[in-house]
Amino acid sequence: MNRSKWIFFFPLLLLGTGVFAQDDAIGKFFGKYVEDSRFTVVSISPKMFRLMSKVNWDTIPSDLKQTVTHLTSLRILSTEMTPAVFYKEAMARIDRKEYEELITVRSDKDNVRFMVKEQGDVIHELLMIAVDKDDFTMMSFVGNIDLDKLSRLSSDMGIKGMENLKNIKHK
Amino acid sequence: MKNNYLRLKPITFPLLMLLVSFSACAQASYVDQFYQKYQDTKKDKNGIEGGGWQFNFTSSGSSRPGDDWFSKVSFLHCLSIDAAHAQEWSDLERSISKDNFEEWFSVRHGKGRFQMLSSDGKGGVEDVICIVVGKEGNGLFFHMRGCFTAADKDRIKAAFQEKGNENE
Repeated sequence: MNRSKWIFFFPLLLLGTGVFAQDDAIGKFFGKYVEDSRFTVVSISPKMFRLMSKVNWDTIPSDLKQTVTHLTSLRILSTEMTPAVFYKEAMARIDRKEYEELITVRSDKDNVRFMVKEQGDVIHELLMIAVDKDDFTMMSFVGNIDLDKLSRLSSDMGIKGMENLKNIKHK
Repeated sequence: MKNNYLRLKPITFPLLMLLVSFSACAQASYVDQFYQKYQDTKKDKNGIEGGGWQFNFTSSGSSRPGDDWFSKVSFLHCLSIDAAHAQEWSDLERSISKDNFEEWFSVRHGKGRFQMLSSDGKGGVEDVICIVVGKEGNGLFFHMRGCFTAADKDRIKAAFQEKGNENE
């Protein structure tokens, strides 16, 4: 069978079988903990982001709506059990060639790291890893990411640790 | 005849694959089969339901865009499942997965879970599923069908989220 016929049939096969894959850092390096009852897991799928982009929001500024439109998924993994151990494991598992460190905020109480995965000039994934004495949190945004707008959206949502992203332009 | 066969041979395999995948969509849904199975097995010898309850609602369902989302519901099925009936949970999850429902979002904490999914049907009809599981593992399952707009779906999400928060 020649190549042009496969090019026609292959996307149809994918549609028919409903193939879907999530390729964020949490799925890649911490996938085994997604079903673990010690962890709290929040997942917002591409379907939800597509749905949100279609809704007419009157009260939300258009730039924030645009930020949401460009996101494709969000996953948060968090636990109160042995936070320091999981933080160490996360730092050891993450492929540093793929995820470049963007910003680190370290104090005597907590440690927050932001990493990005780039595709060309575009930030494809923003990963936040945060630890303090009470909990360990990993959060991954996937999409076409504008850090400035995303930090605004995150602070509006009240996501702990994301306020550190706000100062990125000044560093 | 043989020439025709030889001409069609290169596309036979992809066509068969397509037929298999699309014929799966044409069958009665696995979730519907799950209801049927548990409607029969839930009742004991005296015809009394044990280990949970079910509620069914069907209507013609409005398809006018301006109407309230609830008036667009043409089918609603509620089901409660006890923590002790682990087999029911796993059968239900398998049925949802086989019906190719796509997740909107989920929140899991310990044994507790809040999850919303949907599946697109023919003619703009959509099936929306909401699963609320408490810390003890007891849960509620909602399945509704209708022609919903994006704004309707946002309201449905908000309504279930509100109920989910009340139950926590």
